[in-house]
Amino acid sequence: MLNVVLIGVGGVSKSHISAWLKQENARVIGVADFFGDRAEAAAKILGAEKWSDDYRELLDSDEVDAVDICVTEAAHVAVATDAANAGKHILVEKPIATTLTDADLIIDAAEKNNVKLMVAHTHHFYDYGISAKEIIDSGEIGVPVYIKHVSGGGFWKQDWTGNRISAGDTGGNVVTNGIHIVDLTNWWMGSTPVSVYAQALNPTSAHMEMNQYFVITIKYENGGIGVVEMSRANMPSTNQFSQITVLGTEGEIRTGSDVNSQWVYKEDGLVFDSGGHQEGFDREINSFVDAMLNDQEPPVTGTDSRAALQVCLAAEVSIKTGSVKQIRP
Amino acid sequence: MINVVLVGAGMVSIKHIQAWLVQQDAKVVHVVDHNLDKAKAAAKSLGISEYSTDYNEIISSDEVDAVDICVTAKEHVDVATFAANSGKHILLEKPISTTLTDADLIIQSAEKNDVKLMVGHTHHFYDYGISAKEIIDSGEIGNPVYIRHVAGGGFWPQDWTGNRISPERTGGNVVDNGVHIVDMINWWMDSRPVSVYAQALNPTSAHIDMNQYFLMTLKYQNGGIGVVDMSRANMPTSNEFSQITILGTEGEIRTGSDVNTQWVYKEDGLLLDNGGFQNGFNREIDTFVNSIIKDTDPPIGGIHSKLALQVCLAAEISIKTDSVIAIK
Repeated sequence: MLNVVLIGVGGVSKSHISAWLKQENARVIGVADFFGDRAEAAAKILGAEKWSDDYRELLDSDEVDAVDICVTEAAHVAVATDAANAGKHILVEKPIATTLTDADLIIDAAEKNNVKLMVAHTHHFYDYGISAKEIIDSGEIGVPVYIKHVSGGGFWKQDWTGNRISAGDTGGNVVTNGIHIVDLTNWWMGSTPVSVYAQALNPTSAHMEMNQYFVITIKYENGGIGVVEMSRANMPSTNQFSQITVLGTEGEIRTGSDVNSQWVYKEDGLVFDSGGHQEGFDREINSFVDAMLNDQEPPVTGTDSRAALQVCLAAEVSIKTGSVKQIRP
Repeated sequence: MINVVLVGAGMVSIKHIQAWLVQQDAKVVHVVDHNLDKAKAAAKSLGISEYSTDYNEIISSDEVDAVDICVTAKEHVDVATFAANSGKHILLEKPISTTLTDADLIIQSAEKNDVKLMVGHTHHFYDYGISAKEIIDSGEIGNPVYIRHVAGGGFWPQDWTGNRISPERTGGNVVDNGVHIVDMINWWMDSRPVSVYAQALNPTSAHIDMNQYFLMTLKYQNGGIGVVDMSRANMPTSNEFSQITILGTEGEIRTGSDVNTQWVYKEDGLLLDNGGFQNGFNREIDTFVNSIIKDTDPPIGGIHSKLALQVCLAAEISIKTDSVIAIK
């Protein structure tokens, strides 16, 4: 049994809590949040015995094996390094941090203390992400050369409040939201990004310091192109859609406006592949718990997440300067 | 009746011929091609017996009012300046030319000789293009801030042969094919492009010196973004699709994989607009003929087409240098 402390009970923690509740090999035994009453409420839902408004109180216990960090992005570094120094394994929400320096501090602290570090890039764990990766790895479409992921929705207006509209707290729209897709594109392409160009818009809300829309073009070491296009200001605001194109040298994967149905086209016809839809959070927590209990490397490491963060930060620079930003190894 | 000489009887001329055949106010009186057999075959399909391999004599003739130029892009400048200097109106296939110098020579000779010059950006004349333009101009979606046009197909390898795989003669894939979409986005955005970044791929045919796939991101003076995503190497090769997204400050236009059905989404709901499907070539030829008869400026003059060319040439440089190119 893996004993876990959940730190941070904001928006995303709800999906984590429902996944932890289904876990048979792990349980949340303590909950921390700046707001003690929020921590208490979450602890009661989880059946955890301890809660606190200071996570450090909960870390100092031999009973605790791991932490699940769901605090605001900019606060990841403090909590994650404290957890590592306390010898606890770490599951940290994406993005790993809001700066490369902080990412390095987290990665180094985990290494130094010999604890496992996994970053919760949920899309990595949905059926659609795994299905596309499996098709690519099977060789069915040859070598992937172009990956486009369009992700649209009207989330702005309906759920962009509080921390989510603070570029300082979250790292901005590209870092906090775009990183999902950048991580997937890196993963599917199986190559290292070498340059980034991006443009962004804030068409309807000039008072916010965050863009609602961006398009990033990534050039990869293998010559491939990645395109990440994300809108959070679609109309109507209830609208949500995603679309993927993975072009390979011998075929391509395409989807409709629902990425869960994937089609593989080749010269000799159509192979239908329904991606299915498993809850990514459940599989993410499962993967973390399995890696801890079996002493294995988790599937999305700090280094993976740092690479995606580097692309997102370069994209923000590109947006500001209007020029192509090289990614230095 | 407007008497027209068709110069160039290659692939695109087939579409032009069909459109000329349904014209009431104009007719093709002569066909010219380097290849006499091709000129003859085209003349036959037009129901005429006049054809030759040399355009000089026939274009100089007083009987001729206008020239429809369908030769290879690189040859546009010679035929178009000759036609202008002979006082003939000009319908010129896109792109206007393969270099900005040639585009200027064509524009200046048309101006100097006071003849009409229209460039055949066909997509401008399809229902889908006009429908989107009308929705934007109505103010229904506010100011357009983001326009993406995805045009995919497996045209390579089925119809990429001869001149079409010679970047020297066509200007390359971005100039030859991308110019259609760049022109549409310039038109819809109604703002001046200020910079371009592009990347390209040739995933399946290293022996061809042309990309089969490219992605271009345009920045406009009004702050808007344009994205042109064009593939000519989709599988299977029989496949063809297009998709448009136009995001405005108050709503958006989207299409499925068929641009002829357009949806307008706003916060308070969905408006369906069936864009219909009229053959763009017919409307293009109609428009050209009407501009001559009514002595009006054709909707796509040389300046307009030169700007689309300028963007495409800058995109080719961007592809080679991996840098953002400013459009001066």
